[in-house]
Amino acid sequence: MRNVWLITRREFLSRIRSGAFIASTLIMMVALLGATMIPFLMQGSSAPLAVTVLDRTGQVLAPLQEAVARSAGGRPVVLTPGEGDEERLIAEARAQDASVLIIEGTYPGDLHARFLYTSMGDLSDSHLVTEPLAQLVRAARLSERGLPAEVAGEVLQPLTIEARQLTAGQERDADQFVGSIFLALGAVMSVYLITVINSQFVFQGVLEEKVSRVVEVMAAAVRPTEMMVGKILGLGLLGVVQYLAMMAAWLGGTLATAQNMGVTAGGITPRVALLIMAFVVLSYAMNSSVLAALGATVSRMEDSQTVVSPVLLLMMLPMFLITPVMTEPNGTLATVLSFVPIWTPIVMLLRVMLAEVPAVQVGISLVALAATTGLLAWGSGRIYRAALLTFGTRPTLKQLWQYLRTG
Amino acid sequence: MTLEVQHVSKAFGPVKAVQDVSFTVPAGRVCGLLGSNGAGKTTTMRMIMRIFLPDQGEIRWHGRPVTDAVRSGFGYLPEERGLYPKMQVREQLIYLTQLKGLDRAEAARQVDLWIDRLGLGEYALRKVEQLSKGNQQKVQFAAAAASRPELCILDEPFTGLDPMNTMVMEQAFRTLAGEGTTILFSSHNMDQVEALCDDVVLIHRSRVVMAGSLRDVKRAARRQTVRLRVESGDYGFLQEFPGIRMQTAAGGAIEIAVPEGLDPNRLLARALAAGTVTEYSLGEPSLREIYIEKVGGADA
Repeated sequence: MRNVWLITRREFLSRIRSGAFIASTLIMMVALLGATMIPFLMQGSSAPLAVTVLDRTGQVLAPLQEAVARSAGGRPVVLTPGEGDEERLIAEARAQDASVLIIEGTYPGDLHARFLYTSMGDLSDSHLVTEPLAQLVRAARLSERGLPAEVAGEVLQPLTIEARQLTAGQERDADQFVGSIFLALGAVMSVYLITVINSQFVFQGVLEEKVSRVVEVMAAAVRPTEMMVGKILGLGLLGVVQYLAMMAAWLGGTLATAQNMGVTAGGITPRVALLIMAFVVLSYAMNSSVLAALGATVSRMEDSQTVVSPVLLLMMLPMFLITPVMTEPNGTLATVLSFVPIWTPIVMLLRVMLAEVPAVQVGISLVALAATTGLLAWGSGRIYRAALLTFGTRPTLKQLWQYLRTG
Repeated sequence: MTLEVQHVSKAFGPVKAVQDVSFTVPAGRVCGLLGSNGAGKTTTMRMIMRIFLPDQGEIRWHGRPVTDAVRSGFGYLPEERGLYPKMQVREQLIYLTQLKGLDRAEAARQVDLWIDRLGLGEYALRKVEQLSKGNQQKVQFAAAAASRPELCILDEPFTGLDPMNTMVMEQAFRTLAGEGTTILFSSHNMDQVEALCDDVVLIHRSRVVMAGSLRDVKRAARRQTVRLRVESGDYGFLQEFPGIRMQTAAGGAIEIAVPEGLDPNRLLARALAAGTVTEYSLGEPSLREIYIEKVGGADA
């Protein structure tokens, strides 16, 4: 145990001080922060929606300003009266990044309106002006046909349809569901980073020891199992540090986004938190031991990509399938993928966080993951022992089988 | 305290790397493990260090089989040098010494001692990758010696060193031996082995062909060697003596293995008749001669 601790400590300290580690952690934090802010950034600008209104009817602007003021929600709107030449107004609006609303024809019977915008954000928020305008025109038309204004107002009252997600025990409103998606994506991304990306450090570490030939000095001092476990634990601890840093970035980003979008960020229940921990530990143990064994079979940097790429691709596969899994968390594809141990941590976690998954399914997937992790760690240990001091041979499946038998 | 290698064999697939190898190294002695490239020296050393386990046979220390716990008392310098390139010299040595069971304070004390002995003081806080190959080799030697090992296995410790570094390393080697450490080391430099060793083991084609103290090995050769140098450098007259074997030595001299029944004085008389003799000595055969005789001159 003493040697395992010494190796763990060296692996942890030698990397946490390295510029590469610090830089990669910062980059991942920024990436994660950026990812959580995307919905907010896509929402458009928080600056007022400035619209120059060229009202050729002379009857719409004043009631429209009142209507817009009454229906205020989200982004503030500033309507400025415009006069004169249309071309000049458009040029001025373009220079000021403002939009232009041109109202022509006969009010209210034969009205024609054009909304000219300069940014996608203005287009997506144009409903803040166009909907009150439409309501105003409809009310005026009804009034023209003899319907009292207050009655017309009642008829045209917007209908609010409340969307709620159905779960077994409770209902969640749509805002909460959006919050859950943020939470699920953040959780999945962090599990992926710690279990797949961090496992690659183990592969690189083993390979570096072989290339620098320090492996023989180590093998003469400690057991191969101690080397492998020490390395996995040391780099695992490093992963935990990285994980905490990323969690901070993700949590900060999620809370900021949820607050700005006016939605509720979902919370993590103790059950989900435990599940995340179990998935991280088991998945990291599985991936890192497999990659440690593969690292031991390679003795030249140039062979490393050939060996590790197919395995990494396999590990990454669920990340390419996030959209269909999120669309139908309890669909056949998501259900089947969540029982494949190598993909369980990503897919099952996503399912659990977005839908009701029967406890028995979660239990079975956990047991399968634990059993597979045990089996692969055992096999990887044998391959690692047998391959550690082999140099110059390119690893083939036949060679791996031979290592497994002799290790 | 004796290292006992008893009927040890090891094969890698169809290749028999070591076959029925047996020898002993008494405590506190320095033993040279000799043999041509691929003879099985490195495999034997790796088996002593439990890097490989023998297919057959047993290795004992203090009369007990070598286990992981026993091995922690051994120091090792592998043929393929290897250190963590980005780690500081002193920190790395302390780490490797701690892995041998010493606590940090004692490891640091021993490491500082060997850094001083090997003249590595100015490099102690540098990364290994910033050192020359010679200095890296000295660091590797310190890694083997700093754990105060009972037995030190050194696989070609002097290979690739310049004369100055060789001298420093030989001095460190003698210090280690002087402190009572049993040493088994391999080398292709017969003069060096002869100068440093008490015992020798010669492995040829994966089997031991000769083992014992240097004195006994030389006595067992049962013949004499003449070292001769003539001013003209023409040794053609030696063809008059059938069955004679000779090889060139340093300084233009030659070493002649005197066959049984030939009086060495006849050689001297013939040489004097041929010209001016600038050097003549009669003695036991050198280890180099014995080695060549045993392995047929293959890799000398």
